Amino acid sequence: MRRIPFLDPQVLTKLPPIALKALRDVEGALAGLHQSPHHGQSIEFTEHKEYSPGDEIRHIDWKLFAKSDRYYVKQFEDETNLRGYILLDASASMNYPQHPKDREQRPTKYHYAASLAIALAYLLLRQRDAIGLLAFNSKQQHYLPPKSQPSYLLPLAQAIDHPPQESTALPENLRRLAETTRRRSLLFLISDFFSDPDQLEGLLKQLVHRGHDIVLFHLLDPDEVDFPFRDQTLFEDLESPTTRLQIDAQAIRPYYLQELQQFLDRIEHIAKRSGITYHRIRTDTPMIQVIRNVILRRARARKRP
Amino acid sequence: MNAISFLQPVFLYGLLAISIPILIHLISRRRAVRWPFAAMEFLLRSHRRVARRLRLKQFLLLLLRCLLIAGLALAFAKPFFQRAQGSSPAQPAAYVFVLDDSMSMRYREAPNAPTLFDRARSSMQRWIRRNARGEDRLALLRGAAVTQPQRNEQTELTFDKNTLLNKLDAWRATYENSDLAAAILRAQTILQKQRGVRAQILVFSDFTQHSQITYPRLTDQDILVRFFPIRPTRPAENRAILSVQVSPAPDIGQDAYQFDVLLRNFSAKPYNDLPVTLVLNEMPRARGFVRLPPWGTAQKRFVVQLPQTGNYAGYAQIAPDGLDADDRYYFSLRTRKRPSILLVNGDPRPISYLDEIFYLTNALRDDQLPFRVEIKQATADLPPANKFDVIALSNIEQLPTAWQEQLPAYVARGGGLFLSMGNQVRPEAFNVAFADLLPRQLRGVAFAAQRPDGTGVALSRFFGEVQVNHPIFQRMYRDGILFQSARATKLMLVETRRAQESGEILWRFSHGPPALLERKVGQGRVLLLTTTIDRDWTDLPIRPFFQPWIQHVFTYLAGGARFHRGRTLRIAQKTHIQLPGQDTLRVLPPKGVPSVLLRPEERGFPFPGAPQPGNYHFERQGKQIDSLPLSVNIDPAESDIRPLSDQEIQKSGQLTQTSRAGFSSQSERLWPFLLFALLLFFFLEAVALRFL
Repeated sequence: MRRIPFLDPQVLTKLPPIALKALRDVEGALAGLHQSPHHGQSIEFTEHKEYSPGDEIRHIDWKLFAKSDRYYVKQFEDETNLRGYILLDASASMNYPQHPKDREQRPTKYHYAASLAIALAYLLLRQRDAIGLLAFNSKQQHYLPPKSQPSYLLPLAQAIDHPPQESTALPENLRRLAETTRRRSLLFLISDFFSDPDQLEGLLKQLVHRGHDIVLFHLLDPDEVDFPFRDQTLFEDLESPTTRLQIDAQAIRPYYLQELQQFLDRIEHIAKRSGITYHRIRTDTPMIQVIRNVILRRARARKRP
Repeated sequence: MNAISFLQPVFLYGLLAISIPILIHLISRRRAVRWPFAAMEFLLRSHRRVARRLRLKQFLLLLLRCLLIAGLALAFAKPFFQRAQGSSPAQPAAYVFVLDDSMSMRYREAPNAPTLFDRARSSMQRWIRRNARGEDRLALLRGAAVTQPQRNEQTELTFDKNTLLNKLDAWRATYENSDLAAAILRAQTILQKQRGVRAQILVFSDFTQHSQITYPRLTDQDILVRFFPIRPTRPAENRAILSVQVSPAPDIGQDAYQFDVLLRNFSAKPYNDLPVTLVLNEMPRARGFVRLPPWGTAQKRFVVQLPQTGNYAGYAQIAPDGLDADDRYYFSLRTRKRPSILLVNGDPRPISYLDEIFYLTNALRDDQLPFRVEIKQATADLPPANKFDVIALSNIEQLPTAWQEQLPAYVARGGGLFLSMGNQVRPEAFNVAFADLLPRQLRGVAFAAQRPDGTGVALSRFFGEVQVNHPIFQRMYRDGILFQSARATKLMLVETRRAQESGEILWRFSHGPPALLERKVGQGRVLLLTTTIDRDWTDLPIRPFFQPWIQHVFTYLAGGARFHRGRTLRIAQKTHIQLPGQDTLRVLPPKGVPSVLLRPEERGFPFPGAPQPGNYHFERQGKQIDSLPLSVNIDPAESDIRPLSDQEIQKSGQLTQTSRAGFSSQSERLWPFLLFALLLFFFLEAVALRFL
């Protein structure tokens, strides 16, 4: 069997036997686990509807016609399979840490993101849902349409097995996705979100409005959160190496942490306001814990209404 | 002119250390680690917010650290503020500088440190360079007691500052005493006729207890006298040898001499095992340790055996200190073997006190046994005369002929002969036997006086006039001994002087006849006592002065004192040296002192005064002469280098602090303020680190 990049067998063995469900109704091509907004052919009756031309004649409730002398059509709850999209940020900023010593201890953000994406894809494919992919940066994007064959995992993994580069271009790609994806879908957005939060908010709102169920995975390296640097350091922007800043790291730390916290709060606030599930993940957190979290949280949320 | 000067300017090199924080700053900037980072935006945003503040903080920290180091270096250099005094600067000035070049200015705090004199000279030069203007006139005088004209002094006011500075360069500290009062008087004389100028006398000295700074004012002219104390930075430590006393030590041995070295501590520091060394003729002869209490004195006694006749020049020495000139004390001495004396008894008696030489023997044998005495009878076989230094013949009738014939040659070679009379002496035989030796021919025995009635009962006559300058009388006469108290009843008359006879009368009886005569034969001497040496004819032997006198007599006959102490002079002390011969003498000084020639004068050879301590020998025609050297030592007063208090100095003039001098409470010290500033910098640095 060919080895699938980013797929950690250990994670797979530990995946909980619970299905990953969409929180909102999603539209799928096949009958599946997820509630569909279309009244379908299941046996679960939901309501009556006055007949109008074009409705299936076989759904007319003849007993009711006998009582009321009007044509009513029986409607049934339809179950559909899920269409999921994984949006993966492949910009250079995801390629942190760069120091080989650090990389021994923990993966880069991109590696972590890709692993997370493949794990999610595996989950959805396991429950016969369709999953598509958009890995993007400002220069290129890899788009794979949603499919539900289990063998689809390999092309997905291959599509993201490229080194991250260039800048983020998150808004553009979200906009494009909003335009092209007409059906309600489950969107997994994995990024560090180092871009303009205002723009991001607008686009996310637009997507939510269209009925998409969005899950944000906000990846952060421990260095970014803790800022453990001490001496004079020449910081170099990963996305544009010409942007440099030499500074006494210890002196600037409190200000940096303040700025970061503001940013994180902002992103979380945007997610909350738009009804988007938000996961903030440090890349030193074990992957299985993250996935378990995601599944359980969704399962709980689904039961709540 | 106001100026900041420093007591320890060497610490100013510490200012170079300012470069350390700057270098660290630059190096740390250069050595910054390159670190690719994702969340640059927040860094940039934070940096925009705080860049100015951080830059300010870094600059402030750097500045404070530099100031800290600079402040520290400055504080160690001990800066002080010097305020020039004086009246209107428009008026030209006449300065007379007095530089103390006395012995105490040779003090140095560490082996290679400059002496106080060097420091005083540089202070003075600095002062002149800074303060003397072209229209000011200057003169330069020595602070040491001036015994002879000084070539390097500038005793007339001059405009030529550079010549004065050059003259100063050639000055060296002397070993002389200081006499600042005399120097100030001379300075006043120089300034006396100057009108319309600011007249100032500037005295640079260590101002110690021995400094004379109370001076009379010569005129009512307004002359400002300013004192510039040049002092050690910590209390001076000095110890000195004040004297070395030499005397025979008969209790310990016949040839033993004791050297008593007197030491004094001129400091508050006690010395428990201070080594003292005694050097004789360049050979260390004894070494000991002494305990010297603070401000106290101590005596160290060395006993040394010196059995040979000879001259010894030497010194006692202690471990050198800051003022090393007084750590040595020079002396010289001449020792002789104990003279051996042969007493030939012409009239021995079984009853001791009736014996002819009873009194003589006892006078020569005292506790200290200064002579080796051998007694023989005139009839016995006499030992060879050459074995003895002095031979005394008392009341001799006849001697063995062969032995007697040795005597002229014995005396001519330097032996001493003492002849005393008595009943057995027959003048005719005596005149023949001792024809070449007698000072005068004997004439016959006579009563000193007879009763007027002619009964023949003798009356006594007093001894009379003595030659007080003769060595056998000189010292006792000075001590007030009345030789005229002795009497005689009988005496041997001598012939009147004949032309070829060289006999000299040293003592007469009160009525005229000679009592003691001397004749020099070759290198030896003959003394003739015209009365007895026992009580037969005179009461001389029972007079109190008899014993010491007879010892002087025999010492003289033996060729001089057994022990003779050389003369000790102070630095620059003049004297006349009594030495035989009229040829020019050359002084052989210690190393580093020019030799001088001495021409005889009426009172002896004039010694001009020594510039340096040491033993000064003499030579004549290229050969060192056999005489004791002159030992020249420091005046112990100069060793006392306790400083005068500022109050005492101010009684005589205006106290001015110089750079690198010790500080009084009135000086304007800047370093306490600097130290306070340092504290403040520390505090500010901490604040900057914590809050900025």
